[in-house]
Amino acid sequence: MTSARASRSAGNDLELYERNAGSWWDARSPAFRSLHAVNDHRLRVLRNWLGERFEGQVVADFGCGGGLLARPLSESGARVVGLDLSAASLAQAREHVAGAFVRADAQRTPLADASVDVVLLADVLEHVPDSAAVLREAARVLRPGGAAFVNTLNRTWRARLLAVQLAEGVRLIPPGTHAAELFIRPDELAQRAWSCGLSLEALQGESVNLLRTLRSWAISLRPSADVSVGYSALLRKGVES
Amino acid sequence: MIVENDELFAQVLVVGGGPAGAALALELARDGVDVLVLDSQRFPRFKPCGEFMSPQCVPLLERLGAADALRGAGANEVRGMLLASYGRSARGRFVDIGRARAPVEYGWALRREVFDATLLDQARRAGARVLEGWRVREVLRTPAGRVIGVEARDAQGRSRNVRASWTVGADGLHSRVAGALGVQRETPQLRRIALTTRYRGVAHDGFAQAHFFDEGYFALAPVDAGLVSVNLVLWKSAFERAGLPRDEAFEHWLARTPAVREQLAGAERVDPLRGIGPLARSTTRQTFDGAALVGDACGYVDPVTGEGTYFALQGAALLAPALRDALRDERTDASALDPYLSGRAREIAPRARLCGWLVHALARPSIARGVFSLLASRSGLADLAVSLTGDYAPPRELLRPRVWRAAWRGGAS
Repeated sequence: MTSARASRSAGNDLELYERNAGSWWDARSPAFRSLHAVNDHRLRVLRNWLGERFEGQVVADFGCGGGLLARPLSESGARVVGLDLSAASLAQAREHVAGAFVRADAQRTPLADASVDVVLLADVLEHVPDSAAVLREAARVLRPGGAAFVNTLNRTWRARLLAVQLAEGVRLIPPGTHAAELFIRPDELAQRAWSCGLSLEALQGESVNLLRTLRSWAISLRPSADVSVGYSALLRKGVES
Repeated sequence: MIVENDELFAQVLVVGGGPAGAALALELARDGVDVLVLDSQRFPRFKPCGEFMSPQCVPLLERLGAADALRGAGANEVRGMLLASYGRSARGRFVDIGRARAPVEYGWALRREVFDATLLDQARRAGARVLEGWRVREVLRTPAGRVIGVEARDAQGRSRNVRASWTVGADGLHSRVAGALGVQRETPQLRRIALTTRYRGVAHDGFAQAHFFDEGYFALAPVDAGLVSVNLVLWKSAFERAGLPRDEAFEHWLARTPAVREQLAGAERVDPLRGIGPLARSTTRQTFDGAALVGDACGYVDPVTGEGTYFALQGAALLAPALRDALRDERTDASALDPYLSGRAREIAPRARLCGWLVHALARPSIARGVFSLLASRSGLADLAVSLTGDYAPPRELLRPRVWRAAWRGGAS
């Protein structure tokens, strides 16, 4: 949800977030219905890794959009800083979530070095042309021992088929949301993260709960060993380096 | 965690791209797991082997979706087996035993370099990453002992760390992974060696053959490309007593086994003689925090008739779902793989024991003579003996009197 102009040429349409920003918090909106459903799954994975309570922790949500993932963390005690390029999305986030929301590029945030406990990179890396630059920025702002929570799409034919062709084809998600060539394999993520001083600590695949998806017409996910479409990862900033 | 720039990562790291490793990688990759296979060699590569796989391997390969590719590669259907010794012989087919139905009435014979390369290629097509020419040197463990990957020399000889949630040793008889984990034991009472080669121009009737004598046996399998694979398996002590170089030892025992010598008389040997052994190994453990062993790396019983490949494929078929569940639940403790161990105890251990007993029994000339004269006089018993090696019937079926009655009367039960 960041670097809108830069990514336009890569074939994924980030301005759709700006166009549809008014409906971020409408769980039935065609643009964000699936994101709401997927958000529940991600939140379970995140809480499983980072715990239930976030009192006193600074959480920086890169590409926060309307603040869907930030709100439950804010409600769990986190001091949330949301960053996005879409001013209309930020306005929605300010309205619905307690926290500071700032218009900024995820590659060049206004945050100080080592000032953040948790960086959220949900649905970000697969939308930016230079994911290494975003990871570098996340590593810069994280304090040693801090963690980045990543959720992204794998560069496989299955992800291309399901997340692009099928999901966009049947309008489960808006057409133009994704460009498959920006997707990232877990081993590439691990390597890029390593080169920024972040080590992969956990990886969790997700599979589509088909029955619930068809019933609710919103993508419903469950934990799985399958990382071939989407996956979550926990990156930890090394204490030594 | 110390972070290195050029470390590789995979959800599951499989060390060894032979049948066990390739089958495991294929199944996991098909289910969307991120799998990396490392092998010290480049495929296709030779491998000393009997080159025959039992009928039960066929449905396992069908399940993996690899059977058609193997048929296309020339897998030869072997309809039965000739068992011969001390001037007597019996032909047995793969038939139903008791309640156990033969999945197909043939086993497959295929050159190992073709089989292994085909199966590994299928794994690659399913999405597994495969790195050839990578030699594993050390297993990486946390201070608490959990396996977190390996240190390997890449194809250029550089030291590289590969990290994984689960590391699987599928690296065969002399498993580097099992060795590094310190669980390998030699089985002294089964110290055998094998000499293996192939011939062109052997007339055969599509049956595999086993010719037993006091110090070992010859095994023949009609593989693809019009070749017949010939294996000489010997007690190591007999080989050492003879004190002959490999080629002379082969000729020595060939001269003393007329039934084999006559078949090979006009044929041309197309491969050098390759040796492997001592063959028997066992392991004290097969699962660890963050790691598992599969295939021959778990241990090896001298297989008479195609069990080796079966143990590899069945082991992979049991390990894959256990790993999938462990990854889903983010577990890396050894007990997450308990279903794999109980599956092995159910599917593999009884057959391996039966196999061991058979080898022991047939190593005694008095027993072997009696068995072979019985098999030669009762075709039903020969079918029973051959079918038991087909790996589809659990050995407990032998406890049914009906099985023996039917075999004695000459028909399959």
